[in-house]
Amino acid sequence: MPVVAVKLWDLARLVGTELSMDVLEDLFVKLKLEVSKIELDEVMYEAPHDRLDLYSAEGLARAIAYQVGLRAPRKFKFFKGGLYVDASSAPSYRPYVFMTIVRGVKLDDEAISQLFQLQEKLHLTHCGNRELVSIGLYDLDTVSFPVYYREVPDVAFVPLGSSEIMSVKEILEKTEKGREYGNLVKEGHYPLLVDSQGKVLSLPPIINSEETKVTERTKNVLIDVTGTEPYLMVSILAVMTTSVYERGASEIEIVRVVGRNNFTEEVVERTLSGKYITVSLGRITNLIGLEVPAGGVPEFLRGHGYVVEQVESGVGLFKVWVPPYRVDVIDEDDLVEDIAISLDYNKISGKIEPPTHRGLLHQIEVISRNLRDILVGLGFTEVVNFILTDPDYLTRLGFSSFIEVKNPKMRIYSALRPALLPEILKSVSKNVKKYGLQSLKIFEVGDIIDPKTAGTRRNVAGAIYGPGTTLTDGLAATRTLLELLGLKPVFKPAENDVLFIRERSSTIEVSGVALGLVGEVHPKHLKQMELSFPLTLFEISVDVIAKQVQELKR
Amino acid sequence: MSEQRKVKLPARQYSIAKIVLELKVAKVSEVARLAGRREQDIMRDIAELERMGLIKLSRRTFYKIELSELGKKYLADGLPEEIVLRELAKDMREPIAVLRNIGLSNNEFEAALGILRRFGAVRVHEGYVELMPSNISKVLEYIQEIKEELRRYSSPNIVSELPSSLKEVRRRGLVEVKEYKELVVEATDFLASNFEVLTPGEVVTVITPEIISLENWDSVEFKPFDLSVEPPKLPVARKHFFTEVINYMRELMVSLGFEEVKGPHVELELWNFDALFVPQYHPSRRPSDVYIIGSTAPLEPHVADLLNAIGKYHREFRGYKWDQERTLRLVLRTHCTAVSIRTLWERGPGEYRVFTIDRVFRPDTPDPTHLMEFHQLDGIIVGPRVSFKDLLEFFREFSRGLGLGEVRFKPAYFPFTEPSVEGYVRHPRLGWIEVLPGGMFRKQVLEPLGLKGYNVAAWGIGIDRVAMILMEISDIRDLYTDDVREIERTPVPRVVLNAGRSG
Repeated sequence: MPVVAVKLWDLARLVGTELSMDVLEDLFVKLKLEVSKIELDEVMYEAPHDRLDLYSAEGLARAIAYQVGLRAPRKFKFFKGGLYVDASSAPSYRPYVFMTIVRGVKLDDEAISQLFQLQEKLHLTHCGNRELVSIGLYDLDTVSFPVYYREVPDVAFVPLGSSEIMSVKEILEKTEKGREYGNLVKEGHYPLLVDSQGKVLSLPPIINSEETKVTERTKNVLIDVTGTEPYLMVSILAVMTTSVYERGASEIEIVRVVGRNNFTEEVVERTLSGKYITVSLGRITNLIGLEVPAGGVPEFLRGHGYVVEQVESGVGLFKVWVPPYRVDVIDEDDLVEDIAISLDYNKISGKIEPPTHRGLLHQIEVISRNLRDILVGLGFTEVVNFILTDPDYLTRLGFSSFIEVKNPKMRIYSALRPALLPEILKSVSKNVKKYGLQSLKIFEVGDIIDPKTAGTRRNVAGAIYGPGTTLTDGLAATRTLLELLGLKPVFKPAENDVLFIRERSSTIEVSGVALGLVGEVHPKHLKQMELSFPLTLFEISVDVIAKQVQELKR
Repeated sequence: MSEQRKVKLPARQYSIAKIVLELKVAKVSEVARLAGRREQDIMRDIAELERMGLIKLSRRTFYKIELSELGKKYLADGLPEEIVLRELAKDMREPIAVLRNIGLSNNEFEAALGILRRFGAVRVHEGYVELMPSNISKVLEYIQEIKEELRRYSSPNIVSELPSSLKEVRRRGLVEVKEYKELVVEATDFLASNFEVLTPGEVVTVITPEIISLENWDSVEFKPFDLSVEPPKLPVARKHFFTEVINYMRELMVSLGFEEVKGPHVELELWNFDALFVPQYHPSRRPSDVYIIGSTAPLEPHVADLLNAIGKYHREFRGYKWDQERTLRLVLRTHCTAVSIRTLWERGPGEYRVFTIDRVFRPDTPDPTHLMEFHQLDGIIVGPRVSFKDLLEFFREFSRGLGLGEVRFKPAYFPFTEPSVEGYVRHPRLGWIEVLPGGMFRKQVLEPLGLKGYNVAAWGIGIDRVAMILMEISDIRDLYTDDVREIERTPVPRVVLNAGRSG
């Protein structure tokens, strides 16, 4: 979600009127903008991911003008002349280029600042930080057409913001943009936009030239997009072009693309023409859940910048023209959302559809709840721990099999616990040390991740700590727990020496199915965890308990 | 003779009262010695007797006065002014220089000279000290008084008040005064006048089998219970307050007619992202925003067709190069909406509502408002007539069920819903906070799953935040505590207690 800064006076002149803070705040809510700061003459807001047109003052002003009814939406007029860009020698790894021209703009410092903010925000959010799409703006009157988009082994020009001629290598080393985006170009195969006089427009996606830059004197703006994703590029170009147009322009020209047999200026023409979507009153009512009067719909739509071309009021159909900068609109439901916004979400209410069946808990949760009740009755206090845990701790305890994430933020939260006992052991140690406890009984019901299948399993684990604690205590607790659920546990010697003293550990079976372990913790672990009394632990599969309990029904 | 009703005092207290009455006033240490017990052991009984008005306990200050080293020396060898006088008496007059060398320190000589001059017993003139016989008697008196005082304290003296005569010797550092406090008990008039009525005997504090087996209980005296003492706190085994809150939310959802479903924590990108129409270039799919397991799941046959359908929608509607293999990559799910989508795929068209409350993961470092592992409550309402209004009404109902009050809505954006909404509730301190995100699943999500013509209301609530509001906890990490004292002490969450209908 990019943060955009606009000056209130610039906004006012673009809209055509001053706006009070109250009106602005209400409009911001409708446009999904989250105001982060209002200071003197500037407002900063967070724009949503889908409204690229609102990443600068131009698009915001346009949207506001439609909302308050100061402007009626209109299709964009554009033409194709003789000007072209030759892409026949374009670099193979960034082969696409599209260009438009916007004539008759009036720019000042703030206007230029806004257009560059739009370019920057688009680069960061939707252009994959220039990797997928790179945008360039130039003063048309400094450029001699035709323009060439070609791959060059090297070139020297004065990059934007500098005063000396630099080679590509120097640009990549010495300039900020060169260092940041140098990895997007291949050495010796640099993309270059250059005019027929050999004047460099830019080295996309890295940096423009100083010679052809946009200034306050610029009256006609040339816009280009180059990159790897043609459909994305054209959407971006549409947003950029229509925003530049807001600065007082009189015409838009589409530059021909020559030297390619696909992805030529036709794509730009199609996109700038906008698209048509038909929305039905039936769908509006069905999706929103309110009876929306047909008469109100065209006005709502116009308030969002749509042109309502045809209204078949008998059938309740609206043919709507969607402007090219609304890249988020892909079907009629997008129009329905805008209508709902016009209605004000807080006013949408009514009786909720009743359920067609009764509510039901998942069986695992029912079993878990009963396990917790019994364990509390046996004097165990419940704790919770994370599934993400420390792989080094697991290894130290003797757990060798567990899944790790490839991109952890912290190593102590990079492994997926294969059992509950490691964290239970830690919880015992923490509490005993913190409170100087002589005895403690805790339990946890939680999920573990199976190291082999990566599946989720639910287990219950418990700890009995204190002088004189032996395996008997663990057996007594687990036996009571399982018998109260109607199961008959059988204890058999376990060969488990992970955590436990092998001779003093047991498996738990019910109807021949192994479902858990109980054991006395080996002194080496007690010493490591700074515990001075014996500790008995158990861990049982709740999934298997649930299955066994279900078998009982039959 | 009428039978007088005797008042029973526990034997220990009776003997103390008797001793204090005899001594009238005594130090507690003295009373303890006579009672044959330790001072700290009789304090409870003394407090009892005081409460009954039989004795008065007070702290008195005592002073121990004894000679300092200097004082002892002067008592033995004589005061410095005495020594100077003795020397002067020989010739009535001596040079100062000579007098400085008679075995006194400089300070002592100056002090002695000062005293003699004060009384007018000497005159200092042109380097000579002259004796003035007419004024000698006064200083001799002074010296006598000092020496008497010193003699008095040649062995340590304990007094309750400092005598005024002590002032001068104290000023000259000849005595040491140590102050200390002692507990003192006094018999009250009440004790004195009522002692005959007292008798040693026990009062019952605990019922024993012997007492139960008595014929009658007329002679049994029950000790009145002292309710001013705070009763002990009992240790108690408890359920964790966070699981209680989560389980309450489960019950709330069940009461609204939802079935609980569950899904895996380790999830395919298909269910976590692609089936939700989240493009593969979306920021939420970057390694900074999702934990990657690094392996892939096998392609199951019935999923292959689904993948084709999903891919078609991504390519057509989002216009980018969609990679089918990526969908089988395993990640830790970033939201429980993956479970909702799985359920839609499994159940297909129909009229039903399901929910899940479970853990999700996002790469983050723990701090008061963020965790890398937290809970979400995701749910869907499916049906041909389900609408956005139903979603908003559900949020209002859910908020009511948690006692969160009014909900206000703002338009929002999610890649998989249209319309989308963010619901806000009012926190007493923080104001309006967003806690209820949701929307209607897009056609591009529903159609590949075979739900054409159906509407699905969907949401994914971050319930840790909600729990923090309900329990007035300001650090999210406290929800996942394993501190047994915290868990035992935390009262039953109010949201759980207020679950019922009142009145």
